[in-house]
Amino acid sequence: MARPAGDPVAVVVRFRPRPAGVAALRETLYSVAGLCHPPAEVVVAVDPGPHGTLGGGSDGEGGEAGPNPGHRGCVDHVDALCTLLPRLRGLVDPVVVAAPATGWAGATAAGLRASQASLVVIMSDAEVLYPRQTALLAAALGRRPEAVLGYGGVDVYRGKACEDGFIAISRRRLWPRGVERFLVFDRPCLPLAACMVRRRALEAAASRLDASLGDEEWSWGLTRLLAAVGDFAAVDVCVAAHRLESANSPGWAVDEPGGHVGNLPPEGGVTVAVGSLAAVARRWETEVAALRGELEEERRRAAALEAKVVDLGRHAVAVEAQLRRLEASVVIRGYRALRRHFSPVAVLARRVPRRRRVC
Amino acid sequence: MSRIAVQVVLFHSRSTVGRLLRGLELLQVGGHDVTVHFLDNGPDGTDEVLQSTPLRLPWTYRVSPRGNVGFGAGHNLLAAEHGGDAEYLLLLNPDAIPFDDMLLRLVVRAREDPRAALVEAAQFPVEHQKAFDLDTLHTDWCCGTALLVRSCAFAALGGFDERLFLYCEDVDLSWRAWVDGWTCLYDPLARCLHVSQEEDLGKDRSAEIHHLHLGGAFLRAKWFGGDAVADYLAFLDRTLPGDVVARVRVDLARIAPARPLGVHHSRVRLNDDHVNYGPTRW
Repeated sequence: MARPAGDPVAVVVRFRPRPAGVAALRETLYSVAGLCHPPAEVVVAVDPGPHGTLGGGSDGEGGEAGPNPGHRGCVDHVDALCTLLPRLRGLVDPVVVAAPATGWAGATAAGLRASQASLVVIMSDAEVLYPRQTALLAAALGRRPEAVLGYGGVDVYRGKACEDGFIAISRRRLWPRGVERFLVFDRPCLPLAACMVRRRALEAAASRLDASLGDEEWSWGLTRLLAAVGDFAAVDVCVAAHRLESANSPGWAVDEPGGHVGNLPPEGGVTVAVGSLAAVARRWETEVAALRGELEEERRRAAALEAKVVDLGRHAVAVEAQLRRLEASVVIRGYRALRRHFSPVAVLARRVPRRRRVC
Repeated sequence: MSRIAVQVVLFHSRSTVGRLLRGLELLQVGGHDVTVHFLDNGPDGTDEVLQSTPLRLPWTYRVSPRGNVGFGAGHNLLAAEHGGDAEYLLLLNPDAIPFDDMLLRLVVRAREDPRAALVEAAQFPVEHQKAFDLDTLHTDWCCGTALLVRSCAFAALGGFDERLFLYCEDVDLSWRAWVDGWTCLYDPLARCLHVSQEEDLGKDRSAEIHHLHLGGAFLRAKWFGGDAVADYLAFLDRTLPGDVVARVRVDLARIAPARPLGVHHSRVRLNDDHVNYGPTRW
């Protein structure tokens, strides 16, 4: 299918090797194959897990996913991944890289390194994109150049994940109409698969986040940092689906159109139920304190540099004056030499024939 | 090994058929003898795409001899021509992309239940909300987007009701299957990517909307009679522009049967939302 005109999009899928992981990834990749605005780049970032078992560069840099003989479990999943990709050839042909670290931080870093498109969707293998995700969000960001993030709604399916795929039992619609981006600082959060982010903003925000944050804290932190630097553009359509096993704890809660659910306040927006808000707050306080320290240090350095600049300025003025004196001296000496050269005595002396002078 | 006829009814499908062909190229067929048959209800150069795209499965293509005969009549035509010696028919929409293992899963389900007339693959990624039994996989009706049909059952049921041009013919066929003692299955792990509904943002869908509601009204007239039809038309009056409903009324008067079938079966049931048939999961 021909790729429509518009900013190119990269889709970065975080793949977590686990039972039923490849089946989940397969569905994720099929959903990418169904996008109306096909992505220019698709990257599968293999999450190394808590022990970093998937190889890559010895310096922690991401590389081609390769097996590590010491960790058969993960290798089996990567082998399954290798048998999956030929079954999708021609529909979707992702680049597979090993993430340098576990979690969203590593996957995002690897995905950004392996792609170039100016718009980026980051998602997990528990999510699928609806066909219009990239078309609608790229168009929304195209209409709002000042916006750094576009988002839409999400369907949350609960059901059973098995080796052959996911069986949906129930569905709940997260409908983030009119999320006020500054509310993100207070409590709400947007599911990543429902978002599209400008690369430059994503790179800047992701590099500032603590890589050890948990998944929900990291994604919340990301939206907070993005909210601090730019506006959000919304589309009034569900653009992705998140699949949860029924036994899992609730990940998301949401206000439905025309009302609200549970004990959420009625102003609208998507809210993430984070495990420990207090822990998150402590992390953020620590980060703010560290940033303030960095700021003070930078200010001190700037003051020192400023003093040095003033000294250098003074020195430059003195050097310039000396240069002028030297120039003047050179000019005077040149003038005297010319006068000597063209003086009547010198001229006459040069005109007297050599022979006569000899006689 | 079974002989399987894959049937695709095309209509202005040039832009979508490429991905279907890629899906068919990747389709696992096991040891089955699979042939693909295309009937074009609205030629727009789709045959050129077919000619230029390699497909390892044998295939045929023909333009409908009677113009755009609709979805059900198109499949009836293909089944009459090619389905006679096939054990199963696989009905596929031109805007669908089957998962590579979809066909094999559907055949396994059909073999497990010899009374299964229809086995539906789950649509993906926007899954249909209709309910099904997790143990038996029984469902009230099967959608025609990606549907494995037992040939002998299709013939015994007389195929699709050709009075339905587009939409609801699959519900009608499923109900007739249940009433005649067959079963209808929904395999949630046999999947088919269905994209077109979402794809053409600017496309005029007025004809499709008309046929959707005409089909809904016809189904009620055929199976339940006047009260159900009146209730449905009142719902349409509340939710649609007047001229749209007026056109539905005119066409319904032309095709509706004089008397309902009057059949009572636990699987033949409507939904209070006027949109779905039978219970839903959400």
